[in-house]
Amino acid sequence: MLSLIDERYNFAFLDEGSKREIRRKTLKAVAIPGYQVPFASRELPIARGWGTGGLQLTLSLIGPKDVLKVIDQGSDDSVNAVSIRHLVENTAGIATTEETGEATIIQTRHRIPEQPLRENQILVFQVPLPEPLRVIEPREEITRRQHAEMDYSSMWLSLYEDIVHWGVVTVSHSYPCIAHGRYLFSPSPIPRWDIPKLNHAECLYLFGAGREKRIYAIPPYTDVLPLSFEDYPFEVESFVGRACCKCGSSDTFLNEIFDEASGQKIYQCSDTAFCKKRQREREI
Amino acid sequence: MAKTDSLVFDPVFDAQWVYRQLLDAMARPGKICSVLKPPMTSIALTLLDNEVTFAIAGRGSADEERHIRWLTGSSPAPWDRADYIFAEGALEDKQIAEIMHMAKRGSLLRPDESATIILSVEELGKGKQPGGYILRISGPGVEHERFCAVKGLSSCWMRLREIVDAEYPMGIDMIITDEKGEIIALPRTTIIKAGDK
Repeated sequence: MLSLIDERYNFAFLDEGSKREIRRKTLKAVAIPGYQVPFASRELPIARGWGTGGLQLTLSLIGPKDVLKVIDQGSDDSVNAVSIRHLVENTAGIATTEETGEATIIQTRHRIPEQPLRENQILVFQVPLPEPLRVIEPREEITRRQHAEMDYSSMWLSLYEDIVHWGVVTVSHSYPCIAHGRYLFSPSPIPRWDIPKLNHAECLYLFGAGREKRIYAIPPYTDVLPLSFEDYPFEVESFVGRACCKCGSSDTFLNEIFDEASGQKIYQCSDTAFCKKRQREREI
Repeated sequence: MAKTDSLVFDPVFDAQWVYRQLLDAMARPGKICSVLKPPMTSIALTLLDNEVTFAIAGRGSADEERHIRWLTGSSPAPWDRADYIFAEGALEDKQIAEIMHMAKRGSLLRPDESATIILSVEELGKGKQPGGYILRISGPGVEHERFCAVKGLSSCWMRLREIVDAEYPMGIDMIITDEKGEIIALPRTTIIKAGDK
């Protein structure tokens, strides 16, 4: 296995100094759930904004015994996931998998796997915009102060305005949540469907934003509550009466697609590994 | 403190392994994880370099300080500026108070700019076994409660920790190491109830 590594690079691409800095910052991030720790964010062979934050976390975490899975919107086979997986394979030579249960580290873009994660697994999120208040307040100086003072009134107001305007909270992804009763954080652009999985999970969640140079974390068994009002509770997407066209699941997050032949709207599991597993189990 | 010259440490693979143990310990306060022996040296080699500072308290600390500096390139700093503080678990109350009072707690704007204190004790043990100071641990990372018995830790550390960590998100994160190379971490969010002698 090790002979496949491109030996012109250090193990796992990053130099040890860069890894140490990321590791120090990650430990602080775990100690302060939801707080965005600034980090140096090194140059990588992929452009910033394409998962470099998650990738740097992954590269600082992995060792020879790890098994890595990379997903993009739930799929193991999309370009972003494949190229990140190849980069790690070429520079670290570690085993990769598509089976959620076999992975020790899962790097993800915009989804949490359907299969519940266990204690020995770490989920690494690629985060485009780590600051949940940024849509309301463009200045970092101000949002940093708002976090310091736990002043989240502008976010509450934004949700209230949504309800007044549309009758519902229209936030479909990156739904603002509070970690450990203190910090407002962005769960990255995961659908609302995945938000409840953040609360009191068995696994560790790490978030890396390469372009914005921030690391944050949600430790296991930590309170994560989406912002909601008593009379307008938080709701996940509803797929009532719909099922995956491949595996028949009606309890997963479904993508809406069009059948090219018939022009009909059909639904398919967003988590491709879970869908394949279901198909095997149901012998489809 | 343990002799530091006996450790063979791979800067890539051992550092990675020790880091994962530290991360697991920090994510699950009170869970016993293990690092390479001697723990102080392997933790220093994993986390320290010329970008951060450290301080050491306890017997033979001047020699230890020179050694860590030589190994990692990190610079020693006074208590109030050190990013990592290595200390013995059984120091005198007066010295513990000085360290805990001076150590960086971060600010409301930057709570991460705070010290990590690495304590060395005689022995860490699972559950409620007798013969040590018992920590009853809860908070983020702990499902219900965890118990950890610690031998060679002054209760003064835990008493002052509660005061220092009262103004969350500011606070100090702790790692407790023993002679077998086992560790537990107590981040600032961890609540420790009634420690029995």
